[in-house]
Amino acid sequence: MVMGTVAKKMGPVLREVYIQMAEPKWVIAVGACASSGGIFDTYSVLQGIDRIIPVDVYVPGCPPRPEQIIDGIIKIQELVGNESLRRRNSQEYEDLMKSYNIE
Amino acid sequence: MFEIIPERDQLTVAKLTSSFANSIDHHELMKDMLCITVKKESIGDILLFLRDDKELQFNFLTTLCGMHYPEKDQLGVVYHLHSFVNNHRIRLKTSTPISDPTIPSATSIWPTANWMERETYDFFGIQFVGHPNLTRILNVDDMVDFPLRKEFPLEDQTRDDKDDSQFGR
Repeated sequence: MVMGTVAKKMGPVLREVYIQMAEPKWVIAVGACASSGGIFDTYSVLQGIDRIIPVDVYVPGCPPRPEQIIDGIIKIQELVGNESLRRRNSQEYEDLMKSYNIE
Repeated sequence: MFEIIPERDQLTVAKLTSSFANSIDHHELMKDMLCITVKKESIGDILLFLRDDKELQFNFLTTLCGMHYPEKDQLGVVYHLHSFVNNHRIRLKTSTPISDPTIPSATSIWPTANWMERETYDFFGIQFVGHPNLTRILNVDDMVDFPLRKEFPLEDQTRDDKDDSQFGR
């Protein structure tokens, strides 16, 4: 769960944390700033973490209500339940990782 | 708010003009703080003098920051000095033309100027001569622009989904 504003200087750190996560992994972008840069359209803020890592669920809000965040986690649970077991080996997943330059 | 002590201001001006008469461009009382504009070649000597003088004792560099005046093609630096002993603050300003953005560093006088000068370099591009490690501190290391100069745009230029009409442009 990535919450809060992510600066461009923090981008590589976030990428490293994502790479070090064990499979299977899911990402929730919590808050407007993590989803899209939020109110901070400026040179130093990363305009959405989906520019550097793949995101599964976006929870908008500034700040999101607790119920919204819980709803986001429930949506992840639905994704987990419905995901095919071979998804992480599929070509589509590999192409997705390549598009983010993550091996 | 701290009280205005005009005798301290006059003492500071008198001591500075007696020692560095040809480096002081002008001084003025901006609302309640004495503000002295100096030439950049002597800023190092002046800061050392202000710190070490037994009567003035400006032992604390509160902040140093950059300025950019595009209409005069000048970059500048503002120093705020504070004297704990006398409870007195002054402001010093220097400027340098954009074509030669070098200013002597204050790191040898106050170690705290190290990070502050790195920040000023990061955002304005002012090179501090004599700084031990003048690299970017707050922005991404491979950035080439200097964000706080007046011509640098505020918004992130890589966004293409914002409709200009909705944002008053």
